[in-house]
Amino acid sequence: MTRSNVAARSATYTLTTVMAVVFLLPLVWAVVSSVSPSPGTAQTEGFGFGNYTTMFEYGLGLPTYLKNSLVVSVGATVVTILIAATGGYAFARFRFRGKNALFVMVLSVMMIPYAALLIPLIVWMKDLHLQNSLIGVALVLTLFQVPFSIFMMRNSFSTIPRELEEAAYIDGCNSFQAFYRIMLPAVRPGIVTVGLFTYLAAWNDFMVSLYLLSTEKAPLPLALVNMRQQTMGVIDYGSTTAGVVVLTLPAIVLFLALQRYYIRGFTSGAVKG
Amino acid sequence: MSQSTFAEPVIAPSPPAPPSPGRRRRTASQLENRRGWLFASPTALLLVVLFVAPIIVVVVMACSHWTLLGGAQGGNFPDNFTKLFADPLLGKSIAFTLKYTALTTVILMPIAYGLALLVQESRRWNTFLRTAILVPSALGIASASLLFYAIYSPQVGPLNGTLEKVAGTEAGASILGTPGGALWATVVLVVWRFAGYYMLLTMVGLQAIPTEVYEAARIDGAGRLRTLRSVTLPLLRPTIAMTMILSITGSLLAFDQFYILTKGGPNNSTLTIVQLIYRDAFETRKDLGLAAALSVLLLLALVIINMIQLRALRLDADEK
Repeated sequence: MTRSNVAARSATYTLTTVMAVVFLLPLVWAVVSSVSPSPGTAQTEGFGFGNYTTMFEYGLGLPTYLKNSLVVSVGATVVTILIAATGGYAFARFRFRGKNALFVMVLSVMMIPYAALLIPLIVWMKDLHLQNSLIGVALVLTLFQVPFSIFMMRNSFSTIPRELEEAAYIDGCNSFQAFYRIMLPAVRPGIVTVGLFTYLAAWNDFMVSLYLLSTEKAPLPLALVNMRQQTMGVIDYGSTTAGVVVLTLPAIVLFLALQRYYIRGFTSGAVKG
Repeated sequence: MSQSTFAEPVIAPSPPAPPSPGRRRRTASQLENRRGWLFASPTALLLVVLFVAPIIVVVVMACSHWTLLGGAQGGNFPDNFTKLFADPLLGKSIAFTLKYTALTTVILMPIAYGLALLVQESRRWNTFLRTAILVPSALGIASASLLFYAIYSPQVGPLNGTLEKVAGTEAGASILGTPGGALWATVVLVVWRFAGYYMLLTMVGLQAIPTEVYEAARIDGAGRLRTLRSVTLPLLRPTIAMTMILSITGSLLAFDQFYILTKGGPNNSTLTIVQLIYRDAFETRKDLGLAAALSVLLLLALVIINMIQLRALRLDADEK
C-alpha cells in the first residue's frame, strides 16, 4: 500500500465517522433530552421519565392514540398487500381486456399529487360513510402506495417460472388455489418489502389524518402536533421530545430489522417506475 | 324514478341462455380474460372509488360555491378561480414553493451523490455508515419536523447557545423567527431526512455501471477525477435525472415540515402552495370551493411538470 493510499483511506474513515455522527446525533439528542432536566418541562430536576408521564396522560391518553395508529398502519398494510399481490399477479400473468388502460391508471396515481385529492376526499368520504374513519384513512394511504406496490409485485411474479403454476394446475388446483398456495409463498420477499414501505408510510402519516380525522381519532403523529399546540402559548418541548421518541423508536427498530427488504425496494426498479 | 322505468326496457339484457355443453367450454383467451379480471378487480375497484371519483369531485367542487360549514350551494364557475387569482398569497406561495424546491434540490443532489461515493469507498465501515445515513428515512416528515422543532427551540434546543456565540444572534431569539432562518432550518431538516433515500437511489445507479468500464478507464491511464468526470457522471445521468425528478416533485408538494415548523410564518414568508390549500379550506376562508380550485390548478401543474420530466428522461434514455 502506498503512502498516498493510506492517507486517502484514513481521510475516508474520518469523513465516514463524521457523517455517521451527523446523521445519528439528532436521534441520540432526542433520547437524551427527553429524560434530561430542563425548566418549563415536566422533568425539572435530575434525570427521569417525567416528560413521558405528561405525554402518556395527554388528552385521551397514549394508548388510544397508539391504537389509532395501529389500526391505520395495520389496516393499510393488509389492504395494500392484498391489492398489490392480486393486481401484480394479474399484470404479470394474464392478458385481459382493458389491461393497458388499468395499468395507465395505476401509473397516473404517481402523476397526480395526492395533496390535491384531500379536499374532495373530505366530501367524498362522507358519501362513502367513511367520514372520520380510521379504516377510511387506511384506504386512502393504500391508494398512494398502489403504484410502487403493484410494480414491486408484478416484477416479483415475473421472475417466478410459469412451470410452477402449470404443475399446480396439473395437481388439480384452480387458479385461486395456485395463486394462494404456490405463487404467494414464492414472492414472500416482495410482500415483505411492500408491507414494510406501506407500514412505515402509514405509521408516519400526518397529512391525511389531519384532513380526514377529528382529534379523538388522531393517530400518534397528529396527536403529538395537537399536544404541542394545546398548552396556551407555552410549548412543552419536553413531552414533545418524549413523544417523538415513542413515535420513531418502533419505526427505526422495524427499519433496522428489515433493512435488506427496504433496500430491495430500490434495487428492484420499482421506485423508478 | 320515471327515468329509470323508461330506460329499463332499452338497456335490459336478454335473459341468459340456459347453459349448454357447447357454450360452457370457453376459449382459452376468454378464460384468461376472466381470470385476469378476477385478480385485477380489487385494484380496479380501489382506483375507481378513491382515485377517479375524487378527481371528478374536485372538479365539480372547484366550479361550485362550497363552504366548509354550509356545504354545496350550486355552481358558480368561474368565481372560485377569480377569487383565487385575486389573492396576493397565491403568487407569494408559488414563488416561495419554487424557491424552496430549487434550494433543496440543489443542496440535496450533490450531498446524496457524495455520500454514495463515500459509502462505496469505505469498504469496512460501509454497512454501518449506510445504515446510519438511512435511519432518518424511517422517520416521517412530521416526526422529523417535531424533532427539529425541539432542536431549534431556544428553551431546550442545543443550537441557540452556540449560535449566540458564533453568529452573535440575540439571546433567546428563535431560529425560526426570521424568514431566512425559517427557510434554512427547514432545508436542513429535509436534507437530514432525505439524504439517505437519495443516496440509496444513487448507489443503485452506481452499481449498475459495469466494472469493465472502470478497468478500461484505468488501463487508458485515467485518474480518479478524470474517471469521475468522463465515466461515472455520464453513465449516471439517468439516475441523476430520476433523483432530481423525485426531489422536485416532492418539494413542490411540501406541507408537513412547514405546517409543523413555521406555520407558514413569519409573516407568510414560508407559505407553500399545499399549505395555502389547507388554509383556504380550514383556517382563513373556510371555503372548500376555493381550496378545490387551487387543488385543480396544482393537479394540472404537476401533471404537466411530470410529463415534461418523464419525456426528458425518456429522450435521455433513447440517446443511449
